[in-house]
Amino acid sequence: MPDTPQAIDPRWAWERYRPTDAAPWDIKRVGHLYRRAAFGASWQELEAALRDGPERTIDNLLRGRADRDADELWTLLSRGTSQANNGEQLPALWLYRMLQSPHPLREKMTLFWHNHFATSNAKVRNAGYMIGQYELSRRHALGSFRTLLQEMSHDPAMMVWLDTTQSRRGQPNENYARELMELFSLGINNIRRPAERNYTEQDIREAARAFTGWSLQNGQAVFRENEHDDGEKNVLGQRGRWQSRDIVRICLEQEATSFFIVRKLFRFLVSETVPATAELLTPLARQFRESDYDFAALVERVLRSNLFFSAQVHRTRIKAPVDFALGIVRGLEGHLEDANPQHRLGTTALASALDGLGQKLFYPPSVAGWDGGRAWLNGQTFLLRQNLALALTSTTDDRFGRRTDPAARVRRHHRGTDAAQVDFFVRLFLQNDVPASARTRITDYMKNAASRSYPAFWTSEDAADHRTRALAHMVLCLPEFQLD
Amino acid sequence: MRWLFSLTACVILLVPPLSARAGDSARDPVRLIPAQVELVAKLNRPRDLLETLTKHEAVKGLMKLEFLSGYFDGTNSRRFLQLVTYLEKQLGHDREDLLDRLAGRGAAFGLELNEGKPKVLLVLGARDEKTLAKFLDLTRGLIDQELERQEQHVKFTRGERSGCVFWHIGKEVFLAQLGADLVVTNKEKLLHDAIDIHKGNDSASISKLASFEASQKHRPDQSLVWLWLDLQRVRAIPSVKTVFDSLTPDPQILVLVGGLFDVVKRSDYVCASISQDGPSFHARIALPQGREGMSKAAVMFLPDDRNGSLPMLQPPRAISCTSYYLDLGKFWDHRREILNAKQADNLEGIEKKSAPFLGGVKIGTLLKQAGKYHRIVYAEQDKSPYKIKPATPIGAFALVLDMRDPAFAKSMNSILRGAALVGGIQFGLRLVEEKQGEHTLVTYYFPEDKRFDADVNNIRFNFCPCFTHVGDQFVISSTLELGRDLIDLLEKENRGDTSPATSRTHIYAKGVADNVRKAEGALLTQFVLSQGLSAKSARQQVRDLADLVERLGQLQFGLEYGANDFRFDIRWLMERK
Repeated sequence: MPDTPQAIDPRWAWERYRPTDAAPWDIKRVGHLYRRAAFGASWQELEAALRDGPERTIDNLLRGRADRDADELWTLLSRGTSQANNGEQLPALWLYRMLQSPHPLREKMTLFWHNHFATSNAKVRNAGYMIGQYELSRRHALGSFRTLLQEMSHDPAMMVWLDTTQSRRGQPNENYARELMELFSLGINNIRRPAERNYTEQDIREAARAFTGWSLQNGQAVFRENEHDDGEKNVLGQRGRWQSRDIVRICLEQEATSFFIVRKLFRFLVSETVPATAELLTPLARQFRESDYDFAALVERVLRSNLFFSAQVHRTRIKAPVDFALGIVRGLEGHLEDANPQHRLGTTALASALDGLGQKLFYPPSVAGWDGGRAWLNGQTFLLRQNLALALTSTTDDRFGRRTDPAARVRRHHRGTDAAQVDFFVRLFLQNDVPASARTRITDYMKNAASRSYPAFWTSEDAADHRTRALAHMVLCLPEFQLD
Repeated sequence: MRWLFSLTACVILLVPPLSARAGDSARDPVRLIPAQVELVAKLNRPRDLLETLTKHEAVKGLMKLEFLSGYFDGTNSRRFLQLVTYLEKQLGHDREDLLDRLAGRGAAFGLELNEGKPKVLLVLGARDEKTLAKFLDLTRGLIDQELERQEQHVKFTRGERSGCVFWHIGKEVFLAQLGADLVVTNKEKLLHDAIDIHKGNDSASISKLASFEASQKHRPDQSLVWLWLDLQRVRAIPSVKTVFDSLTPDPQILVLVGGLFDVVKRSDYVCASISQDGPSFHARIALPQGREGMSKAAVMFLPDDRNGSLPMLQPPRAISCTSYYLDLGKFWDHRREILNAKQADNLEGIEKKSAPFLGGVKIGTLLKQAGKYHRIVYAEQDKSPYKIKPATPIGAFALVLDMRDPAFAKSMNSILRGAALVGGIQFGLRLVEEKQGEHTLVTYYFPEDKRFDADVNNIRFNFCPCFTHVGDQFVISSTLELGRDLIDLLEKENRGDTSPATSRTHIYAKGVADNVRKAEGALLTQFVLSQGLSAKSARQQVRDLADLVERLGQLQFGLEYGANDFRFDIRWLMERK
């Protein structure tokens, strides 16, 4: 990728990317797009996107495609999980949808909102409520942030999580009001004027009174007027007999909200290392406010931008465990029915492995969500990532069997020679972002492994498949694969 | 090098022998296990075991289930079959014949627990010495090749002791052919001892150990597999000793483990065995101590006669029933002999203050009014009296208590009504006296229009608690439905049909199968998510699984104290086709 200016010009940054000789539509940019806007790509998806060009590829990602069978399956599976109140099954349930979804960007942005409105079933203890919250986030994942925030305030899982159900006239619980301002809309400090705070403790106390009177009955939020504090409240400078939706409206009227959400999206989609300055974010924040918080339009602008496809943000995020694992599975076509002799890969074992890597969906560690970034990687999780890659590629781990067999994939894509196989995996998983020394090491391994002896009961095909699997594992263990 | 043992174990499991023939006992592979091991196990008739595993209706049914067969889809299973085929070809016999030649006299396993890494020894009793020698050479070669593939730069090295050749990799893996026996171990000392026994030092063998010899009657030859554990030495292991020493006979432990702790403390060994009778199986755990010599606590757990437990109660949709003997009245009478002085003082202190909390009845009075036979029933719920569905459905359960004195019913009536009054304030419980024939069920309903923040998942709507009594049986049930079913059963019950077992549990496959069918949605979801099955296939799997479970008959657990022995029996009863 070509270099871009060191000091990023906001105008250039958010202008539409158009391929040029200096910044061509190539495999690196396709891979980048699929890592950020989906959960990695299969070989077919990479090749198709390369042919289609950026406009059509991004259109496809934004729109997704209708799949009635997938929707029906989701209804069945979510009902099964909900009726059994099987909270431990929730992560596998969502991972399955992430893998099979005809609209991966929607799942990806739902994950964004899950981390934003981080709610854990460890406290909620109701799979149905958690699925309900997921569906709410998913419905508005590429829709209106205003509607999402309003509806989230009366979401049953959120009401249990942040104790809205305990909040009554005379005994207001401040948890939801506090997190609404601190984590869900305003943020503590003003991004444009960092010395300023966006709200006061008094604002929280007053807002908490507006959220009194809500409780759950048969899984539905109900408002009980007699338990609501109907008195006058003064919140963020506005005085009135406010109810919950007024508080949400007042928060959305603050400029700080647009900056806060846009900065979070920037870190999620664009970069964890490039500074998200107020200047850089201003055009996006303005668009977000002026569009009445149209989040789809915001996501679209980011995905189509010069900055998104620039070298400065390329591989400047550390892959979350979900991206790491699904990237491997999708690359190895474990999700495709026609690529597997028996059936696709299930996600129960995968969910359990992700728990070990620090990301258990529906169970974020706190209301602030996962720290992300460098916190994903330490000595232990790095080793566990390598072990998971081995379990998925070796075919000797009975949890995954041969559903993600690299040897089967090179046969499917007719990559017979050692060189062709090295090219295949380096292009599939890293889009050729490999230092020459690493490529040499991999090629040398293939040469040496070819002359190694194997137990007498192995066939020559066993030996060749074993080398292919080891090759795929080596590629997945390269440091570059940890970067998003 | 755990993988190396896994490979060896695979090879050994691959070789189930034909049934032992008369005269083989002198060459029993167990004799090569040195006396220092604490645990011995033997597959008497491994081929029968293998055939059971491969031909039993339940196993065949399980293997047809796609969600299980997926687990055998990996490279490990394929390689294992390749290895078998290779061995067949190289040794010139098909697998059944090969199994007979390599392990026809049984497979024995010894384990030295003690502190540190466990030391293991396996002995395969072959019928064909020459084939065994070839097999050993081949296996060594294959392991060397695997080590080379893994670039471990180690190989088998030849060793010799008392004229016997053995092979080893470092100090971790030892292989030797001693006549017609193959010995595999991870400890050099165990190998040396096995060689010495082979050379005639019989006194070093486990088979000459007194407590092992004494356990013969608990290690039936006709069993498929048996296990022996030297309790005397296990109790002396410091970490185990600490656990035993920390267990004191406080009332809770006495009620939970009964006399078991007593017999375990006094027994030199424990034996376990599994036998087959057609499609049914019987597992038994036996200890060589029983009623005789038991502490005073025995009066609580052991009846004076052979009436150990009352008949099982099996209402419609029953999943399980437990029937047991526990005489709390005798516990109260003998409390100063069963408990130590401090525990007894504490208990009596509680007794003095208990009446206000128990509707005016003291604990001691209540325990003496209670009878000695009790039953617990667990069943599927059919019809709920509530419209609201709980997030997590829970089955119905009931406790049926024997009454020594009819006053027990009155005492319990006061206690339960008092407790419900307290609960009523918190939950708004509604009391209704329901009739079932001439019996009155005092029943409590949770109101559906009342908010209860501590139960957002509506778990309370699994319950509609009630109580009543039928003759000398007092019934407390979690649901009215089960309470009614139990009244019907108790009215018709033949109480003479008792068992000498003092504790029994039956699990009914029909009830479990119904439960599986009821949970179709949840199981289907699990199959799709764990195995990636299509919804259609997963639904079929659930139905096949329920049908299979329904054919499994009954699982029965029973605990019986003899004069000088203790038996815990597990019977899986399947109907013959």
